[in-house]
Amino acid sequence: MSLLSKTHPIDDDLPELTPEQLAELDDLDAILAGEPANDDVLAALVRDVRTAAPEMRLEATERLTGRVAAGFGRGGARRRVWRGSAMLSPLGATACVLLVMGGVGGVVVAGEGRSGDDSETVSMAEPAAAPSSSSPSGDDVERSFERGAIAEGGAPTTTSGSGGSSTALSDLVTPQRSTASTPSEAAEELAPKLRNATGLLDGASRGSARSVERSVDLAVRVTAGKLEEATGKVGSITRDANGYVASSDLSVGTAGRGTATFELRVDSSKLDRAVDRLSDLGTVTSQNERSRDITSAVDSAQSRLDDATAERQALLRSLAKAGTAGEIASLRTRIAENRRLRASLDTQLKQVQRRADLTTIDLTLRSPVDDDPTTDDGRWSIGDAASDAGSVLTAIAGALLVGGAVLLPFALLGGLGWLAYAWRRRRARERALDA
Amino acid sequence: MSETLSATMAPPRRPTLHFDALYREARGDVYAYVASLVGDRATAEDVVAATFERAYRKRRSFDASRGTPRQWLFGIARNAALDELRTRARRATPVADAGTHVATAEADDDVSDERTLQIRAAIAGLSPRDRELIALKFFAGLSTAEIAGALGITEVNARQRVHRALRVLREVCA
Repeated sequence: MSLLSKTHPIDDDLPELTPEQLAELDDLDAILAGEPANDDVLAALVRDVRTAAPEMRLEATERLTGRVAAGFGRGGARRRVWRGSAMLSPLGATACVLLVMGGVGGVVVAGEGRSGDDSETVSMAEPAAAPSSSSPSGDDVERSFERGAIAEGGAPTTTSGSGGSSTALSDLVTPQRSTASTPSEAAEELAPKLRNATGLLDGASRGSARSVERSVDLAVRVTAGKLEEATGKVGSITRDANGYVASSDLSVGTAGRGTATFELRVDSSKLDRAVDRLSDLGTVTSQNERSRDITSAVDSAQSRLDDATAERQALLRSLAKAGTAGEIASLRTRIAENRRLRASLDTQLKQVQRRADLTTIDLTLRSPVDDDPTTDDGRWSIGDAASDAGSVLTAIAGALLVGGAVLLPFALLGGLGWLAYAWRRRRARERALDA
Repeated sequence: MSETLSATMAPPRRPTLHFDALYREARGDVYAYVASLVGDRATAEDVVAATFERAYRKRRSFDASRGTPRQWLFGIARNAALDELRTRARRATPVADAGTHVATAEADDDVSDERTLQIRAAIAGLSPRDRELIALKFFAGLSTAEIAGALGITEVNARQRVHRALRVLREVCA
């Protein structure tokens, strides 16, 4: 009311009162208060006017008094309804605000998910995003998935080459809804599919007597204090895969935390089993598998060896037919050179074939460090809880901020509308008095 | 000192509105005020009933920091009376001026005093705004500040209006 009166004053444009007029009003107030009067005429007027005040009829007074005593029975019932509405109104308003904020928050979170931020749950809930796929002209096939990549894209990045396995790879990248609830589970879920896809590629290569060189980069997070135990298992797993440890580097700090790196060579035919067992040492944080078709290199080495062998046969036949000592000596020299050449070519062939027979696994075992926020031992700790709480509060604050930004214009419009309505209603009432 | 301290330490209490006491104290004044606005007795009684019903429903929203209970009550009464006048205007029924109603309706009273009848006639002859101010000042006994609060105007303007109405009343009653 006071705001309206100041915003839309309806004061009459009257002259300011003189001191005598103000004194007259003071006399009036004194007389009305029952105090002695300085102005007898005014006192008589007050008395006469008050005597002439209309009075309510007795029956009407009694009727109204009864209603007041009864709490305005009908009005009381309406009041109860109003109280119910008053209780529902805040609930309804709160629900509306939450709905708006939830919708806005969902949009925000979805937007964050699209923008590639670290939002595992949202990203994993929509794993249907197709992975990027390209087909280079080479014979390389590289498949990799990392925890972050899966969380962001929902499927690993796959680069397929010309291996005749496009069908299998297309099946692999076909959007499928993941049942995994965490990126780690998703990684474990997708790993066999990747291996199957590459296995199809390898099978296709083998079906056409092709040779494939493979290598795997594997990073595994192990529980703190179990790094050495996991390191010990690496050797046995490698041996079981008919392989050997080419190199290793173990760095263990306090409380069994640290990092161990290995370069393993395992039988390619036992690679999948070996990778599975190595993955079981902890939680796979990243895995990168590469395949390279080296059939041409094998064929080339084999061809050169075959040529050298054929040359040797020819030299031996020539030696058997040789009649002179000089001719025999010359042939023997060439046969010796041919022997060295064949030995060299045989070594080259075996080296190339060995690249296909043995797969290199670059294994990294990492035990989390307390002050490294990027590492996690997989268990939910107080620190994780605090971090999650902070994330939740940040999300709520963001949703409230966005919701407030959305609601503010409506609130302003509503406030202006209410002011306009109140102003119009008041003007209408004043006009009724003037009518 | 201890009393001052305890008063200082006491938690602030929102003044409660004693509705029944307010009703008993102000019902006659409200009727006189409303009757001076709407004119006829039956309508005035209905408006008074509506006024107290509205006040009863809104009694918990009364804020003592914004005025006295009587100012608050007469603000409600004024809105109720003006709503009634607006309803009448929308009905477009030919009605006489409220002042005429005041004169005629109050003629139903068992009043035979000539001076009283003269005063009533004089009041009925005032403009509605002056009549309202006289009612608020003389019948309801509101202070200038209370009148300003009830009408939604400044206290200075309320004082000017009251003085103008008083001057007119003195002239017609002379």
